[in-house]
Amino acid sequence: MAHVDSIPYPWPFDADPDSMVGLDVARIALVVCGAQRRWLELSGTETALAGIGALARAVRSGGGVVAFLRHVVPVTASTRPGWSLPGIDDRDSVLDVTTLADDLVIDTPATSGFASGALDLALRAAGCDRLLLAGWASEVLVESTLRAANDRGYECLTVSDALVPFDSWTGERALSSITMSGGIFGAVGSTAAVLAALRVTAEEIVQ
Amino acid sequence: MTYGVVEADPYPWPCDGSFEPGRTALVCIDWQVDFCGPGGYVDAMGYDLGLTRAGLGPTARVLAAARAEGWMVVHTREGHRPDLSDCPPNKLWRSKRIGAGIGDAGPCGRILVRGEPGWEIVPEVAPIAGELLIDKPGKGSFYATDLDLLLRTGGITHLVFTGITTDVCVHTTMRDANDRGYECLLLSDCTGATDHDNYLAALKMVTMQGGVFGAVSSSEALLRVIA
Repeated sequence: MAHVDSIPYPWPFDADPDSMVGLDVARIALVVCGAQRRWLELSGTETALAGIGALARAVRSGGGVVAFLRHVVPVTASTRPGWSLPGIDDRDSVLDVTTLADDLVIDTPATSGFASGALDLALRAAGCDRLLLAGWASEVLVESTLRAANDRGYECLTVSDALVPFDSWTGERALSSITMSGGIFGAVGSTAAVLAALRVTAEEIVQ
Repeated sequence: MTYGVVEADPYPWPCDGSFEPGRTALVCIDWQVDFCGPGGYVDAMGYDLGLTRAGLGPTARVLAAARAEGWMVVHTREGHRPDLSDCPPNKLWRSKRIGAGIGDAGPCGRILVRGEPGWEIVPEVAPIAGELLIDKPGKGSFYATDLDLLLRTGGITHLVFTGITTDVCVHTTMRDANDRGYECLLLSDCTGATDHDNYLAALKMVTMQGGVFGAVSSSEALLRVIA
């Protein structure tokens, strides 16, 4: 398949359904938000981890980029009651299970991974204009990063089962917002759907 | 003059205990015909205009109070250059796919194009002389605009938000403002979305984790403190 079976449209927008040439994985970056131990207790983490691991392997093997964002508590939020999480290092390691030496690891002092220029610059330098969004937590880091990416012209697919929401209802509504107005922040698809597209593509590249 | 805190969720706003008219801006997001007027972009997509127009009355009251108090007032407009050279190809493609193509002719002129009737702010909350207008090509009001520079140069530290739609342009802008260190308040009755549940969820997201993006209050709670 030369595209991901996703809603509200087959991703990416410029995929040619009749083409024998599949997705160019070298243009794809998997962006894993909030990849930190502090979020591991959130419900749904186990499923998301499995999905992220599989996606990371597929993207790497096709020559794409895997980027992990670590969230450092923003200065403003840290002054508010209820925010601080005592005893947890906010610069804790990226999850070892899914990280390889060639992956990008970018710290962000904000909820958006684009708040500093590092991610945008790294993605452009690598030639990646299509992003797969995953990680912790759906409504906060993932959504803020997705919105910034979309305004910058990146073609984004949010991977629905490689995400962990803080709250199941707001997490579900966050996905709904993405698909409004014909895909206002891009498309939403499953890990399996992405893997199906990437695997065929990898075989085509070998041929 | 200093105002006390506004009754808000999840904490009395602002977090620093008080705010001042000279350091506070009212930010009115995208009250354009394209998003809440008949014949505009949202209407063309078939959504219920009642949902996006619901906040106009309360917003007009807050606008009047902010003007009387001498606040900085900012209006944003989403729209593209007439040649669409600032419209990402995926954004253009998605709009055309659902029959409301950016740049296409509609009852209010070319959809989401600067200078067209549909791009104008509706009369109920229209800007007056001396207020700032921010033209933005995206959902967020900070990306590819001079909003941050204008706010910082004006000494603004606190932002109060009205506008549409809650889950898209308002949320994107509020998240970005919060990331940049502004202390933000969203007025729940001065905003709306194309889907009511997404509006409710967007309000709730602000209040998660002790106020990850700031706080939410009613316009009445704000007016009690400032007017």
